[in-house]
Amino acid sequence: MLFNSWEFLVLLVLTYGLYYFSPWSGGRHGKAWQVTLLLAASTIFYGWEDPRLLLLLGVSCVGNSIATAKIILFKSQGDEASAKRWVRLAVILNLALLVVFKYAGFLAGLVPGLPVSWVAAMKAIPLPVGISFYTFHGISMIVDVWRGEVTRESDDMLSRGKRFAKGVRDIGFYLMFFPQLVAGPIVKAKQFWPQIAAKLHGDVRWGVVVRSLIAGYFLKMVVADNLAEQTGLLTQPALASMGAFELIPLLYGYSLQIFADFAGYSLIALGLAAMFGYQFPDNFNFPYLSTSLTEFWRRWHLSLSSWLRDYLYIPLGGNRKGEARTYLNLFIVMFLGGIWHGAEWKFALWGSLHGLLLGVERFWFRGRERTVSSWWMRVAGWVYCFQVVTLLWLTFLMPDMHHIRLFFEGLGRIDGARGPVLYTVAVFGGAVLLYHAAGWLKEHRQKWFSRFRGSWTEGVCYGLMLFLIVTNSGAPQGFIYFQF
Amino acid sequence: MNGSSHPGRFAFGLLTALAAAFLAQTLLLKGPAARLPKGESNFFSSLARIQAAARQPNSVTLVGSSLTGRLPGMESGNAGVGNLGVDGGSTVEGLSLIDSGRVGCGPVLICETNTLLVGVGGKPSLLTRSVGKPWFEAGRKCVNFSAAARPSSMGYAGLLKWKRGAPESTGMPFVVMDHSEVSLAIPHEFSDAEERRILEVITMLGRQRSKGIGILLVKLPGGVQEPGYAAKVRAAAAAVSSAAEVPMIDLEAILPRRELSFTDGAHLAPGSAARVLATILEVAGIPERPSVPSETGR
Repeated sequence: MLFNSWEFLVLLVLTYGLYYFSPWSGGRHGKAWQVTLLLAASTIFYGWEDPRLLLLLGVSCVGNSIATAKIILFKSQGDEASAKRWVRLAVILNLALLVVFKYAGFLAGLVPGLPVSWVAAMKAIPLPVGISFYTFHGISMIVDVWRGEVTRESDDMLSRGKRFAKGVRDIGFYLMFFPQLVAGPIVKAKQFWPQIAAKLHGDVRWGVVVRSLIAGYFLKMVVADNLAEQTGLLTQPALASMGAFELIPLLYGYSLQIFADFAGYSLIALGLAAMFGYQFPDNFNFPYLSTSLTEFWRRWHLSLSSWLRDYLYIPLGGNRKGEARTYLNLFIVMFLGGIWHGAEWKFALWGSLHGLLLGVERFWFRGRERTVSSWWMRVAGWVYCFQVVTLLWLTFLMPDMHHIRLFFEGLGRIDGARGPVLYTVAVFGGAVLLYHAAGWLKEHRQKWFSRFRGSWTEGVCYGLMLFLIVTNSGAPQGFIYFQF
Repeated sequence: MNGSSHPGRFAFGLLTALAAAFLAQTLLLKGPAARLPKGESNFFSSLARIQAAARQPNSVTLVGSSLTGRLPGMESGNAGVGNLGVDGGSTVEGLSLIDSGRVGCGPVLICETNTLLVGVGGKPSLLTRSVGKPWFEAGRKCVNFSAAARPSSMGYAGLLKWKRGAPESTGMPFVVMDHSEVSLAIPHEFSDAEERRILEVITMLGRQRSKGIGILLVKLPGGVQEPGYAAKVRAAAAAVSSAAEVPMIDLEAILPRRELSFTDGAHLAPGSAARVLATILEVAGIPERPSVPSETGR
């Protein structure tokens, strides 16, 4: 089910009404009712298109619940070795799930001499929507419990029977909560678990809800979906006949589209979670204001960067094991981060290039002040960063290396551009630039921005966005990150 | 309202802007901006035509691709002409909308043959799936929510109007051909998918004929096709004409390309589009020709 579908609207309204206004919403069983209701709504949300997907998600929920209970049990008994064995087992099983359903076909293709029919069978394994996200949630649950960062509520799971069932319910809720289920943000267990409680309608942060939902739907439905109609040309046969004046605007258009699509999704998720009393971390912080790739990764898909840092980069040794090892760790994290997006070499290439450039930047800034103070250096950094990031998005957009080659060949042709391409990129891409201009004001003109916040002029901006959502949305498209 | 220092002011600004934007849009829609033949989006340009055609009864319904889409229909203020031309699509999409009852058809149906074999074997397009859905219906009933009322499309149409400026001249003599003159029985090899497409079109046209709808197949001037493929399309059109027993005309034989203007070498410019439509209606023998607007330079 998509956030921009009518069936979702119906599900949301029903769930919202029952969540806050049913006879069971308050009182002793308020938490049980609300969590169970959201679990049921999430089940409908996820299983709407293909109920078979629920089976795998169910296996993940129960498996992670059992592992969590075991880790808590052994830790409470002081048996660290057994607890650690369960952590290893659970992480391996979570990753195995990902490997089988996401990477089996890709890996089988790399094994020489494997019968063609086997490779074909493995490539035919369907990719369950959101598996990359709920697997990472599962690993976060296991590791945070092992580290003692998720404790109090999990202790309930020590006993069997009813309490274990409650534990399964809560872990299932953490993995499945519909705003984050399919494409994140990847909320860590230690961030989410303490929030599971009975919620009151009066506690809803409506400012967050209204701003996040309007800005999110605007970025997705107005900006990304309108840009998609034109940028889609890059993957069609028309690519072979395009010249530089079309290809370059379309590439920039895609760069702005992928931001609008994913940041829009994340904002919608944030707003929906806030409607039900939950707080998600920000996933984007105006990434196209970055003046280096290092800064870009502190602003783009923050929840993934933070997950990779906590559960991969730091366990690998981070920057504590010498200079050479730091570069290697950086590269490994970016390479795996690339592969996480999909079982294809193009994603590996994307991650590797980011990893290499991060290494180069780290080397460049060695022993120097990391923040550049002069305005022209900042502008130069911004130009470099935006061009590199945009160019590397080619690997995301293009189906294969052949299309990437066609793109570069097309750059040699100097033809006129079609009006709709230039107009669409200018108008809808311009909205992303305005969004970032607002971000720049927020960061650099704080006094002015604090006056703007909550004022009627801010209301006008949101009113216009709402108007455009209703009258100027693009042809409905799926979210780009759903495929990951 | 948490996270907002002045929730009342914020809400006031939001509601005022919303109301003002709708008011401005409504005023614009009362003027020439309401006639939107072509916006920046193929999808919404097509949807605008279909919504306009579905809004009131047609006396003539046109189905085809973007070539047909350029002919002035109700969306351009040409009363009585429902244009189901689908940009990037084919005749089959408009026909299937009529056949499934999602859009009504006038007593005369004009089918473009240029794109009879476009998208063979493909899935139903997003556009045809959108017709009849809540957004489409909302736009059909309230013009503010229609595809023609998109601010970006109005802006694009305004830019085109500004860029293209003065209208073209029209007034060339129309030549009427009997369909038997161009009913070509060209033997041709079709793939299974192409045969299925031809059969599908024949079946849908047969159903419309049985309802008493007059049908005319038309090869429109314009479009760019490789010669071998063009011959195949002609053969497919001839096969449909013969099997469905509907007349067919080749407008390129009547109105040579050199006498027409095209915006991009493939699609008719407004004046030429109006002239082509007038010719079609004359050939179809429409007793009361719907008014074709004077040249707008869109």
